[in-house]
Amino acid sequence: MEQLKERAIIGPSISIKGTLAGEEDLMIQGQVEGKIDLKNNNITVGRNGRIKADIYGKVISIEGEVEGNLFGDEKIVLRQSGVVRGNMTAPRVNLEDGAKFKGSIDMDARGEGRQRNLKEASTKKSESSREEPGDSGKHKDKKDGEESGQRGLGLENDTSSSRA
Amino acid sequence: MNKWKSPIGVQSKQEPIALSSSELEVNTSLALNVLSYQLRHEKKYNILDLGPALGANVDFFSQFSCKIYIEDFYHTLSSFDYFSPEDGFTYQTVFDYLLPYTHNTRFDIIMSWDIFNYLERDEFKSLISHLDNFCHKGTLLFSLISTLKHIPEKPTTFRIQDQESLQYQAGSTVLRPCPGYQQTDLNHLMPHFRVCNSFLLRNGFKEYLFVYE
Repeated sequence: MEQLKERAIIGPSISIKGTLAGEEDLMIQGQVEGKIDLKNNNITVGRNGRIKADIYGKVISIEGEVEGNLFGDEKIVLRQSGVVRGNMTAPRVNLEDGAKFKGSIDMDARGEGRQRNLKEASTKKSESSREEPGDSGKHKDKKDGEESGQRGLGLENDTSSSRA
Repeated sequence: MNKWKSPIGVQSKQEPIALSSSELEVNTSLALNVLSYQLRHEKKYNILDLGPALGANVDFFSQFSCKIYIEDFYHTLSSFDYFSPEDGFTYQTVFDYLLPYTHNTRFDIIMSWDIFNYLERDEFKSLISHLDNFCHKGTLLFSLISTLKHIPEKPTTFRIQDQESLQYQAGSTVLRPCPGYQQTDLNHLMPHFRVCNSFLLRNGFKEYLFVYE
């Protein structure tokens, strides 16, 4: 049986402005405005939690409402009842159906996605017997300072009604 | 203050045409398959998803190295009733506000799903014009254009099951007229995009994969 880890609780009637920091897991049912910095611990924003802050944690689980950016060292979980407006950065992000989210999700915090991508690419390449739809490296006019490149995204062979 | 047209795009006539059901339906997606194949390179992809936040779609893209921007554009725009063209605000102003990205942001992939079916021509053109600012040569745009006369009142929810299967869930059992954009319309409305793949599906959708040039 999984041992329950002790955690601090901020109750629904508590309202905090400022920076929250510490070395234990935290459950927030109240309101926090500022910054939550518990990089080595798990943070849960309960259904009653209302947060206007950036949150730093190991595993971050959201059941309430958050306006701010989330940085999960391991994982971020947005539960069905969760509402997040901000950006999420973590190696893994789980969104449950019904969760509301607007912002960006960056899941390559540790380069794991890239490794998976490479592995899948090599698998696909060996399995695929169909004609390759694209070509890589055709377009090399990426401007300096662009946030993202375009390598390998040039499709060449239209399969239907291309513009003349 | 006047509100944004109700809610956006082609006016719903609230015709009581009931669909047989809004149950889930899975269809093969050839364009998604082609798009997935493009994600094979060792690079980080910037993906703009104009649809709602869905775990299945995030899970699918999470197998690649990427940053996903999720906008739930239809619901954001339809609930955005503070400004309207009648108040002197242009579509461009509104889109700048609703889809604000830094000037150096460039998307590799844009998932518009069936949203274009819910936009009038000028809205459609303005949205594309706004997105042009964040595309680079080679940006791919995935879209589902309905060829039917009527479509559900609200956009369909699409969940990626795997790289060639999409689960459809109609947004409503009430239907509204469909603008029925043809290839020539799309050429006019998306002047910097070229169709690189298109597939007509049995359910009345035509899948398009556009590439920005």
